[in-house]
Amino acid sequence: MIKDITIGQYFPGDSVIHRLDPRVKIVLAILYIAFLFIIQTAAAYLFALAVTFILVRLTKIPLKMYLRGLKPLLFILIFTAFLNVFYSTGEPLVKFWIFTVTKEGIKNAIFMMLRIFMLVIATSMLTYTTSPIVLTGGLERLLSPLAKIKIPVHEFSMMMTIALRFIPTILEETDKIMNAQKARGADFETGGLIKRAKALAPILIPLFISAFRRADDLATAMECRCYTGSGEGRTHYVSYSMSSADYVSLIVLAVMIAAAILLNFVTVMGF
Amino acid sequence: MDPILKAENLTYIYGEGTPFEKTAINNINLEIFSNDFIGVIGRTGSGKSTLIQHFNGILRPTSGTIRYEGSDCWAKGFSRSMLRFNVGLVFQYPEYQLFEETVEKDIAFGPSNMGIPAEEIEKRITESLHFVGLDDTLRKRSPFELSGGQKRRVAIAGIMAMDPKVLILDEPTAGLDPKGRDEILQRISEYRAEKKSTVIIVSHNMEDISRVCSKVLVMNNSRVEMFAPVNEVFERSEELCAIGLNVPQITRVFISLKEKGFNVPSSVYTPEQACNALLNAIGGENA
Repeated sequence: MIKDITIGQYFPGDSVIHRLDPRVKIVLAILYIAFLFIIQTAAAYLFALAVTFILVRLTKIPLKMYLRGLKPLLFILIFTAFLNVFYSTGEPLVKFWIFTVTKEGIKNAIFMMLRIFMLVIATSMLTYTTSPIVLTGGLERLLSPLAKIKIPVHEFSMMMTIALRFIPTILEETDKIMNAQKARGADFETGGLIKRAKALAPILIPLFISAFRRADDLATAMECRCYTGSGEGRTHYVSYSMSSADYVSLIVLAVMIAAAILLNFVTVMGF
Repeated sequence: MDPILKAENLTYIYGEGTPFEKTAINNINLEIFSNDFIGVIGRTGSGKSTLIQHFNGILRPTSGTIRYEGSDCWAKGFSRSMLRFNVGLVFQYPEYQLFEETVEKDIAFGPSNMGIPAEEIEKRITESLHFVGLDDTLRKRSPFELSGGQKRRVAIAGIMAMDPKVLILDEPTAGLDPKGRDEILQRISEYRAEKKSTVIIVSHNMEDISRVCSKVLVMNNSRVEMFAPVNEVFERSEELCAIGLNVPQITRVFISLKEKGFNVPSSVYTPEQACNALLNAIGGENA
């Protein structure tokens, strides 16, 4: 049920990918997405697929977990493929009624699906291998130059950290309250729209009360530790430093992009 | 006599198929009879809460069966809402589930879900407020204005008002002061005596359980370690200590006395028993 949501989930581990500097990982993810949009030919796609699978293996998280993240996108995936098949111009293969299936259409559909597929895997990989706290920490460091032009980067990242931190807590709480109300015979599944909306009150009211209580406790706890936002001289508990693995991975990705550009000139059987 | 609740090879696994997979209860077999007063004890994470959530059909067992009055709770055609009305479950910190504007409306939530007529609900509110020892004048108050202990009682009254055959309470005394704790336990045992219902209490606290329960179910590492009358369980105090549980203070005193060579039983767990045992021991020496 609620616990089945995997997007944004973190799988603790100690693989090469897990150990990369979060700043580097964010940059890599962005470059990788750029890479996915550069590739155009079948050869380049094969190359990208191979790279993606190698990366998945490197994270030591089963492929099954990545595929699970794809499930909610299945509809979009099929829908885009469908559109691509019928709405591409090119050499017609089959014709019926108002639809024409072209060679280019089939090619575009397959490429588009592969692209979305790899896109989801790449972004899942970032969140699967980086804990939310580290991720926002990395993001804050990356965006810190913006603080010079008075953008409250630290405050934004603190808000994001707290929000991410409390998602599992609130989900767990929702589950608990739902069970408690079910034990009192509450019914959330049947009835019309109004009846169902009314049935949410026994969940939402306790949930809001506890969320406010938690927020209040957290604010007090932060104040007790003298938190004043991004004041002068605020330091970080963890400081990131680039290791050789980080440099290597950046170089590898740069080479990959170069290879992709080259492979775009190679065509296999007209693709 | 047939058991009211029966678990057969009950197993439950959280997050099956993910890296976070955890067996919460493992191959549990047990029978609970009508009018039993059972204390469930075990360390944090031993599977107590998971087990009791099977008793009213909140959790579906990964394997094995749970039977209520002989019929499989997950068989086709079995009404789980009926099960939830018959097996009332008070969750941990139940005060966090309060949501209505007034105490009486909140208590009425369960009974009205059962489709009980208004006058009958009215009667049950009065009765359950009385059972948990709350004054009738609190009825029209908002539950959020009450003290922590009072909120807890309102929540317990909300389940009692459903008049379940089995009442299960998960840590009903957690976070209460000693006086509040004693009183809640006292109220629960009075409720049981009057309603002739089955009561199951989950607790960390041996003293709580020894005071009111007649049988103890000891959970350890997702399994049932012991399930026997209170005195039999406390006789095995060494085993209890070995799995990280305490025996009541009185029992500990008597175990030490016995070790020192006094002729006293080691399964003493109430002040009355202690008094009798001491008198016997002294009397024995005088004779």
